[in-house]
Amino acid sequence: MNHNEIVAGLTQEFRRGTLILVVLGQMREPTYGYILVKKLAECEIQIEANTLYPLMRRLEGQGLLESRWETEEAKPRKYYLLSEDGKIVYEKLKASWEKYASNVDNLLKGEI
Amino acid sequence: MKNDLLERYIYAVAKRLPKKQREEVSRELQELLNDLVEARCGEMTPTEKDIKVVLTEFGTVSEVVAKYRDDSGRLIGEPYYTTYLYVMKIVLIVSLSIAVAAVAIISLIDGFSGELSILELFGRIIAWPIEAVVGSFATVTIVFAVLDYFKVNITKEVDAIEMLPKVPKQATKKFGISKGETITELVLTLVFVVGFMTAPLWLSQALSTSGSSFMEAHATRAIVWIEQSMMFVMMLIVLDLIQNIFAIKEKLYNKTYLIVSIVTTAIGTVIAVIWGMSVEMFIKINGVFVSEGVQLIFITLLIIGALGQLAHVVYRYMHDNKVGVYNLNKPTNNNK
Repeated sequence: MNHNEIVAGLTQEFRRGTLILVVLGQMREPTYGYILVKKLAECEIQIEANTLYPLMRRLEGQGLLESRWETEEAKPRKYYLLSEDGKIVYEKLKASWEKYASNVDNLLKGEI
Repeated sequence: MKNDLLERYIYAVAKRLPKKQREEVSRELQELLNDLVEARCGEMTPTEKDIKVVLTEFGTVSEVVAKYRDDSGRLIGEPYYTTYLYVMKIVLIVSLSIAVAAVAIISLIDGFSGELSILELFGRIIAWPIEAVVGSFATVTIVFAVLDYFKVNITKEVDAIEMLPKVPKQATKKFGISKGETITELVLTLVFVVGFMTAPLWLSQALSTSGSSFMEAHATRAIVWIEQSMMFVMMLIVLDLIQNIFAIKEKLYNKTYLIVSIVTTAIGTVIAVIWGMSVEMFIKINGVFVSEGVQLIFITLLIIGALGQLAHVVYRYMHDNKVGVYNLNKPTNNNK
């Protein structure tokens, strides 16, 4: 049995589940795609560059993000920011995650 | 060459996405890929190899398209969906053409041998093309659903960087009224006018040489009809020319062109109705001359054609103005 391969697959699964929370969390300030990819990579949260924009488009479609093109800079860039609804959803999602993570933590430590 | 490769990659992705997403996704990809190239090369000028590495790391065209398209819950997802649409178009066109040709040829043969009733003819005109379309649609869909289900690899060749399609010139000039379209229309109109005006001459010629009473009856009636219709046809052509002159002058689907199109279509419709009502058209079916039904179909077709063209202009006017295409050189600031 290849333990590393199984662990990598399972880790990938819970990373995928928390990706939206992570992305929303970075959108409290206007941010563009490549900066976000770099920022997450620095925190060892891997996201494929080709996944990010489609994901942000979907979140925008759901009304959680807003976007605008900045053309003042040398290169035109698309900035994303949490919408008013997005802020509410993010705060609720964050609270839900914190509660869940704490429960999992307690379970793993054998406190429950 | 290296920019060409990036452009071709972006174009290959965009053309496989829904039309309304293409422009925005192209800009997003341009921004992101340029950032990735810059991150790899820094101050150095990127080589073609650098671009290839960035594109390979970024993912194949099919992978990127699949990310942008949300395929969950679809019978046929990417990378099969794009090929499915392409094959479907070809199969539908071919099968529909065969069905129409079959109706025409077989009905002509049956018609001459007197074995075809009008009811049967209408039945064929409606049923055969529908059968062809439904049958082709079902077959192609089932084949691709099976390919998708078993995840048969059909994209290896398509996704090679060397195989990226070239960006056609029209892709950068996709808005406004196409000059080629207008010129083609003018040439076709000219051919029609020449043909129509000279028709009585060559019909008379054919009549004097054929000696057949069948031909004589039809050609004589056709000549009378053409001569009586001449004034109406000329009026419709003048209206068409006015619309085309505005198309060349305005170059865009703007308000002026829209108003001209509405006015010319309205006047054209009135002329078509008067034409249809005042000039009797005789056609011989199964040995009997019929006129009323044919007149009605004739007027209806003329009006449908004119309204169809107007609908196209209205659609393009709304579409082009909605996406702000007249300032396309710069990305739009769409603060939401």
